[in-house]
This record gives sequence, structure tokens and C-alpha cells, in this order.
Amino acid sequence: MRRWLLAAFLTFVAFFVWIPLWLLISGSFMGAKEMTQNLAPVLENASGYASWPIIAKYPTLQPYVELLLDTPQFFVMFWNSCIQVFPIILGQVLIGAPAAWALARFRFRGKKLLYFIYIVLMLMPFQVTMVSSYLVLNNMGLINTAWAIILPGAASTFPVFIMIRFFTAIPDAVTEAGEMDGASHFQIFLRIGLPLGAPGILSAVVLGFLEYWNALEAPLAFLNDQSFWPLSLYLPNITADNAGISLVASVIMLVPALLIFLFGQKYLEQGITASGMKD
Amino acid sequence: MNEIADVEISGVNKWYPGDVHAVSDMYMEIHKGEFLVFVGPSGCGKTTLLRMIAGLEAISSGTISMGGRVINKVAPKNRDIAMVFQNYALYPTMKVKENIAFPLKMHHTNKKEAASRIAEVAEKLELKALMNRKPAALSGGQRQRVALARAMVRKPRLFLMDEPLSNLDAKLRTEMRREIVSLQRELRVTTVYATHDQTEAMTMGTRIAVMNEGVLQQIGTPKEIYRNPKNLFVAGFIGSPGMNVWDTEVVFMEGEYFLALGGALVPIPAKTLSAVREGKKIKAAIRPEHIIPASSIYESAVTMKIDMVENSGREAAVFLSAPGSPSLAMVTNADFEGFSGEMISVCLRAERIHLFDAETGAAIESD
Repeated sequence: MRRWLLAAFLTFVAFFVWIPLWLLISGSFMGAKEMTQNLAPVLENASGYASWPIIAKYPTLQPYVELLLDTPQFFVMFWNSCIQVFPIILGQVLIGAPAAWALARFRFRGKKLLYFIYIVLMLMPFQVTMVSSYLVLNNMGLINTAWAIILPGAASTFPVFIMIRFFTAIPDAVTEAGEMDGASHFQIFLRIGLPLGAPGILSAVVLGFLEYWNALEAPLAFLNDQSFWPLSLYLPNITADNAGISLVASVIMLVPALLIFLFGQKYLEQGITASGMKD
Repeated sequence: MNEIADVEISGVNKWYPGDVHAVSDMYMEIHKGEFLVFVGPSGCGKTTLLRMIAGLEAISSGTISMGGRVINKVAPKNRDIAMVFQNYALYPTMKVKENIAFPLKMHHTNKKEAASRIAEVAEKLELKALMNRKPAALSGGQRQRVALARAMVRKPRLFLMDEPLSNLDAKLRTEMRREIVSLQRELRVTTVYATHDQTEAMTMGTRIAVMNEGVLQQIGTPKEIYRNPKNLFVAGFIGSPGMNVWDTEVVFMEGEYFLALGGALVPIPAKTLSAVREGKKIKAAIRPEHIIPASSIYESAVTMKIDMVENSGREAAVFLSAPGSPSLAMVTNADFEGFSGEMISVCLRAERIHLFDAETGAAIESD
């Protein structure tokens, strides 16, 4: 009985979480006319109240066609998102995993201080480091290039923090066995550390992807030229008269994140648990 | 036994931060082909010493040599040593065959040779049917076998085993004990085995090194260690139940020497007393199997009360006490019929009594 009540309560709460998502999906199948009618009181100061049907009265794929076939700008921004986010994730793994391995497994002078700096940097919100980051990127001549987003993202401290937790959990005996079996430090990292730390790496990948796919501040601050903007900046620029397209764009924007979430849910949860915080 | 020193430990010390002296001034020779067991209670330094031989732990001072070459600074992978860890330390993401193949791969053994060696150890350790399983799908005994196979496949110069049986149940432990010993005898690879279990030490080792608080107490064959413990620690640690030890003094009466056992006097041959002055405080010790039930009319018999009888079916351990006398444990025939509360006469085999200096704990050698 108690279980049943709990399930009912959670379903009820989940329902509220799902409402905006449902409105988004149902709205993406709405024709421009129906959309205008429904939203006229809000967008055009018409009298009455705005309304939103659970299912579009006249479902149509027209907004999808319009966005996917007639809006090349969308694809440019989608591509921008891809060429910014995927290198960031790749960079985070290539830089972060060895860094996390070193911090987790080696004893060296200054390790505690270095780790402290990592933590402090991780805890700082973007706004704090924005100006200094801008100055550095500007001096390097990287402002207004994808590198302005990729380089700071790839060197982010958060994935290192998550991966450290997973690498630390590997029993010493296993890496020592590797050492006795004749493996070098690099071979131990590659053949023993990486496979055993894979859940941690995947957690960092999933969390990193969600963070950078939805990033607003960094592209807004470091990319003046709109032609470099990622998809996350496309959505706020859609005006009332093409609200239908905005909803479709939102749905499409959601898909990669949703897929990553569905396939990586286990790792996402492990990552959140390991970091002890919700980003 | 071949007496050529394969490994020589010379004046080795290990300090940990906080002034913890884990291994103290250790000198030891490990002979080629022998099965040497480091035994001692937890924290006695046996694992630290083993890890220093392996190269997994830095040596604070002293030297360890292998075949005459000092290896203090040689990386573990270049020492030609294989190690079996307490918790097996198999690579969880690799299948059994990949686990066994790993050391060969790291040493760039050619594929044909590697395949034949893997097949050979798999056959020897009955792992053929398990080759495609991951460690998580194996039982404790099977994992231990894989760990042994991984160590053996390289044909190293030295095997190190750090309490490899401590995670197994009693029956499996006995089986694996025999298996390891017979493999070692067959391969004739010098083996150093660390354990806290004195039964393992006694049954497996060709020699035993008893350690306590980082100090080597005694090294010798199981028989030597059991029969002639060099100090009270070794006397108490080896054997189960342990040796009976009591504070005593030598009494000379009517031309004969006696040892005080509470209010009673136990006659003792004068030759064992050459180094002991009459009246000197010493400690005496006797193994439980050297106390025997006796008729009360026997003049040196001591009468004691039975506190408890533990009959294992093969033998009976009888725990005895008497007012003003130290408690004693006696091991006798399983047919022993005494019961708790009953008074019994026992006789201590005088020639089997060991004497120790009460202050230093060192054995008092007889002539």
C-alpha cells in the first residue's frame, strides 16, 4: 500500500515535469494558423486567453518541413554545436583522463595543492572567470573562433574531478599486479586504468555533453559573429511570428541530449553520485 | 636443499611516515628453489618485506640482491618476479585467458610460444573450461587458480605470494595449500610466501621465517622452529594450542632440580639447567602434547581440574587449571574420557620443557 501511494505521488509529480515537454511536442505539430490563434491573446494583445490543446487540432508536419528544408541557418547552427561540443568532449577525455589518473594514482610533490586548485576552479561559476578568459583568448587571437569555446571546455576541471573518483576506486593491487606483470605506467593506464575507469569517463562524457550542448554564456561571450553561434543560441532569437519553428528547433535540439541521456543514464547517475553534486 | 642464495636481504629497514618502523634491520638469505614462508601476526612486517622484494615498496635502508645483483632501484617489471596477491588482483575487464596472457604480452613473448605456455598452465591448473569467462563469473578458488596461472605463465625467477589463501574457505584452503606446494616442487621456482596462519607456514614451507614487530625472530625448518623456538614469541606463535608458558624458578631439593609450577614441583634434568642459577626468575614452556595424563601415584604428577575439553575427533585439547597454578593446555588422544570439572593427574615430560629468560624472552640454551 505504501509503495503504491509513493508510486502515485511520484507519477503525479512527474506529470508536472512532463507538461512543458508535452506542450513542446504537441506545439511542434501545430500549423502556423492554429498557433497564431492559440497564442494571439499573448503575442498580439488580442482579447481573451491563450489556449494550448493537448493534441494539435490540425496536426501537421509543416513546421518540421519549414525548419529542416527551408531554414539553412538552423543547420549551420546545428553543425556549429557539433563542431564545438564533440571536440570539447574528445579533449576532456584526452586531457582529463590522464590528468585524473595522475591525481588519483600517483604520489608527487604539490599534488594536494594542484588538486585544491582544480576544485577551486571547478567551483567558480563561468561569470567569475569570464573576463579573464576573454582577455586570454583575445590575446591568443581566438575570440570569434570555435577554439574560444573548445579550448576552455576541453581543459575543464569538472570531468577530471569526476574521473578521479572512479580511478581512485580501482584497487591498488590491480595496478600493482600490472606493474609486476611487466606493464609500464602508460600501459597500466591504457590497459587496466581506462577499461576499469570507463564508467567514470562515460559519466564525464554524458555530463559534459549535456552541459556544453546547452551552453549559452560562453558562446555568447566569446563569439561575436552570429555565424559561429551554436544551436543553443538560436532558440532565444526566434520571434513570436515563427513560434512553430522555435518549438521544432527545441525538439530537435532535445534529441541528442535525450539520446545521450537514455543510453548513458547509468553513467550519468554514477557521475552525479561521484561528484556529490548536481551540475 | 640447494643452499645457493637466490635472494639476499641485507640490513633492510622500512620506515613509514610517523616514525613507524615496519621492518627492522633484516638479514636473510633465500635459497634457490626453496619455499620460504614469512609468518607472523598482522602488522609484523611480512607483507612490507615481501613488497620490498617485489619492488612495490621503497627500501628505507639496506640492500636486497637477486643473484648477486642489488635490485633496490630496479623497477618491479624488470625484477623477473611474479606475485600472487591476497585478493587475487585479476584484471576484471579481461577474460581468464587475457588475464593469463597479459604478462606474456607485456614481455613481448612471441605468439606461438605464448599460446603454448597459456595452454600448458591452463591444463596444469584445470582452467581450460574457464578461459572465456570474466573474473566476476568465477568462484574464489577458480580466481585463485587464475592468479597462480598468471604468475606461473611467465616462468619467473621468483614467486611472491601474499596471503593468497586467506579469502578461501577452510576446505578449499587445505586443497589449494597442497596444490601450491606440489606446483612449487614441480617447478622448483624459489617461492616466498607470506601468511599469518602458522598451520600454513608449518605445512607448506621448506623453511619458515617468524617475524614480529618488523623483527626477524627465527628462521629455520618447520621442525627446528617447532622443536627449538629461539624465544617466547616463536614458542607462543607456532603451534595450536600454543605452548604453555609460566613464570617459574629453579628449586634445588634433595639433590635434584625442580621447576616450580604453582605450588607443585616438576623435576627437570640438571643438564638443561647449566645456564640457570638456582632461584633465578625464568619462564618455562611446554607444548600441549608433551603433557600427558598420568596416574596420581606417579610422584611428579600434578593434579589439576579440567576446565574444558575440545575433542576434534582426531585429538582432544584439554584445558586445565589449579589454584595458584598457571592454566595449562594438554593435547591427548581423542579417546580421552575426562569431563569438565573432573580432577586429573598430569605429567609434564621434563625433557621437553623449554626455558626462557624472563627479561629478554630468549631461549636458555642447554648444553
